[in-house]
Amino acid sequence: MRVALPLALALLGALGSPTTASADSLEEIYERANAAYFRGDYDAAAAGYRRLVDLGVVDPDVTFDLAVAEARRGRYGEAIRFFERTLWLRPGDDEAREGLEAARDALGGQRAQSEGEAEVDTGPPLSEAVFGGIPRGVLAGATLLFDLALFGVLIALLFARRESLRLGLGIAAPLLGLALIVSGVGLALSRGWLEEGEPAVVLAERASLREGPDPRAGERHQAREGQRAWILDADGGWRLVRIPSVGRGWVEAESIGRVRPIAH
Amino acid sequence: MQADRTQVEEGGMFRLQIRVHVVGGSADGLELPDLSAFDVVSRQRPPRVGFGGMGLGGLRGGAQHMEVRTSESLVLRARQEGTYELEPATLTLGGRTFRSNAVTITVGRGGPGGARPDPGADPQAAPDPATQLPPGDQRDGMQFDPNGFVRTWVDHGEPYLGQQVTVTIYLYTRQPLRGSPTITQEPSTEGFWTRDLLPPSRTLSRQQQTMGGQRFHVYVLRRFAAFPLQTGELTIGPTTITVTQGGGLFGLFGGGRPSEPLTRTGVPVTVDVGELPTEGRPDATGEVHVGRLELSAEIDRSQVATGDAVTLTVTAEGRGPIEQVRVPSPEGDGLRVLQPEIRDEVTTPNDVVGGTRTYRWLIVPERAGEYTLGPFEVPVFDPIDETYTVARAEALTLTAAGAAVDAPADDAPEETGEPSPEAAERDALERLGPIRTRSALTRRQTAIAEQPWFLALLALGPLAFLGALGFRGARRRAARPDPSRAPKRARRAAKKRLSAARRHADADEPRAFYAAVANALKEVLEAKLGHAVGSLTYPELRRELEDRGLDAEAASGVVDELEGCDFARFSAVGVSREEMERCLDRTRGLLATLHRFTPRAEEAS
Repeated sequence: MRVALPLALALLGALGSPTTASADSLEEIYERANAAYFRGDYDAAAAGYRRLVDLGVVDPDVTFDLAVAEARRGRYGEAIRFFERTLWLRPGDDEAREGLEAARDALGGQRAQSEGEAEVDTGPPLSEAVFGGIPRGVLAGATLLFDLALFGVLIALLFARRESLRLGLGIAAPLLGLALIVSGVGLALSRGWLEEGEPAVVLAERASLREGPDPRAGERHQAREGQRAWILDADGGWRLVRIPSVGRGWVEAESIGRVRPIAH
Repeated sequence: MQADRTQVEEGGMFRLQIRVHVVGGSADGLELPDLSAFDVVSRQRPPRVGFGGMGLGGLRGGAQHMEVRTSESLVLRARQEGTYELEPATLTLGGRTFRSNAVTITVGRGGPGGARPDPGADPQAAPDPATQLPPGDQRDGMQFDPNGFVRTWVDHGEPYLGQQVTVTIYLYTRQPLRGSPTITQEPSTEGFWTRDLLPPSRTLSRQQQTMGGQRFHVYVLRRFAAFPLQTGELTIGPTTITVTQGGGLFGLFGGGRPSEPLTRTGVPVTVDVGELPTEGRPDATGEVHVGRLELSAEIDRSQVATGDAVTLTVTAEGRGPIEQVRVPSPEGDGLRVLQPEIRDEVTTPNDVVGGTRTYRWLIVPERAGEYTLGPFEVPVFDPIDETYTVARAEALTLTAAGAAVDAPADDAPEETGEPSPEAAERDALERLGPIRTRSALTRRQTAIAEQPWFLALLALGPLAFLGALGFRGARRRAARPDPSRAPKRARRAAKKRLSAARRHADADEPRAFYAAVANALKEVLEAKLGHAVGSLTYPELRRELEDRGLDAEAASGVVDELEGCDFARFSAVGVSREEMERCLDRTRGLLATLHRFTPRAEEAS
């Protein structure tokens, strides 16, 4: 009995203790990552934030912190990717927009050191340029509101008898229709419903775009770190991508990172 | 040896083709005739193509196991007026020399159609590339198969380093495609910088060409510009395609029965990339743009306060690999020149790659004085004319006035005035904001637009509108009088009127009684005749009833009863109960007659 009790307790403890990953609460991981960042350990900080992302956290504050930490580590492709993700999760986030520009500029400076001059992607895509500052929830709500209002007005127009009321409804209907079209297009653009492929960012310093999903396939183009790409297809560890002004080809999956979280 | 034409104008171009057909030997010893009187615009030497045991015959005649066909295809430009005898091409094989025929080319003075072409106009750009097919009498770039094959065609066999080679992959089939072919292996382009010339999504267009006595449907699968990045022999790899087409796939290539999807692989095509000529080269080691180029420079202000930034824009526009053009950075003692912003706009008119590359520098004069920016120069080699020029933008003058400003120590090293890249990177990192220390740590974020109720609510409006439309339509239909149902309604109404008349008779109310009877008759009449009868006089009513088929006795009975009702309503004194009962009986009889009555149409009457 003297031996059995400690053994049983130890067994219970072993069975009951969760693994390290699940033992840490999300808050603890976040706190430790922040602490690592403030003591200048950017590798540990980035690892902590990335762990949160891997655990399914899709919070724009976490992706922002991860982007900053990656930029401090000199991994500007990753930084650009996570600043873009922050802007996807929270359009109109000015700090993330400034961070994105800073990461692109830093990438340009880094490249200029080795090559004499640098060229990096700048500017947001059209959807972000036009509707980037409006949260998608607002666009969705506006679309719904205008939809219901427009058809409510049309229904009222069917039954209204008074001339002044019919005149008012007749003016309101086309205005609401226009508003519905604008908000609907904005929602479609910001959701990426009109895009061909998933937006992504090139992570490798030089990514070979090959003719097929095989390392022996011929290289057609080269993409540079930080360039925006659209993933069109996947085959094992390879992704078929389209990069504006470069072309399309197959790249290794590690060379490219999705902007949007997979849950979306 | 043959030329596609033997008379050309000065500056005009023609194609000279030398075909060699060797059985059991090599065609490596082919000697071309003296072509010094012409400019060689392009030369294509496709790879040898072997055919085994086909019995096609050759130079020696007779069937052999291996035959080799090759051809030299040259595009020549006539320089001067005159008659030129091209000596036969020769091939030495096994100690024997074989000679081709000679060809005479007559060059006339340049007329309206023979003027020297624009030196910048590439010969391959002249025909519409979308419809131009490679010659049908050559078999280079393909493994001919009478059932179908893939052909790789390059427009330049011997380009210069950096010169555009346009590569087109064709699919030849015997029957029109009914599906899309899948390219399972793209042509490899090691040693080239490439750019697609066809849009990413397009419809396959079909042309027809006769080869080997058979008509083929020809489809363009790929077309891209390839710029050689190194000299020597470079190879465009073979392309493999698979054609799947439901049911009778085999019929696509001329067979008759259904089969598995068919695969065809092209042959590799080699181009011989030459060095740029040294003669006339402005800078023996520097970069040279191959193509055409024009430079222009402008500055947004020519006078500025010391310390203020001006924008210098240099635009390079032309043909060739425009994204590779390097414009030297402006320099000047007392100038701080920031890293340029570079923008490229690439176009491919007529499948010739070109466009504009714009360099934009921010320049800050740190001391008062007059600065000279430029000139800006880029050496250019024109592969058509085989001449060097220098694209040049003239120098610009910038005047700065005011007290000198101190250059930031990090950004402007004294020797160049440019910010160092390290400083640029460091500055960018300093602009990064602090991290955020609070987060909701949201694990799942489902957007409103992705909620299931969002689409349902979105559809609610249109559905409600459709429902309202349907409701209004039904209500209108219900309100609209239906002529086919009018007699039934009238019969029911008449029955009610007669019941009311009975009550009036019981109550000894003769006026009301006769009014009810008259109304019962009128309602039935109106339902039968399809219009109101109140405006008709009794003779008119009688006439219409007779005209529309009611017998004269019944018509008179109806009209007499109506007249009697009118009379009784206005002189009802002394009307007995019995009289009202008789009236009711007569009216019932008349109504029964009217119910059986089917009036003719008004026009017929």
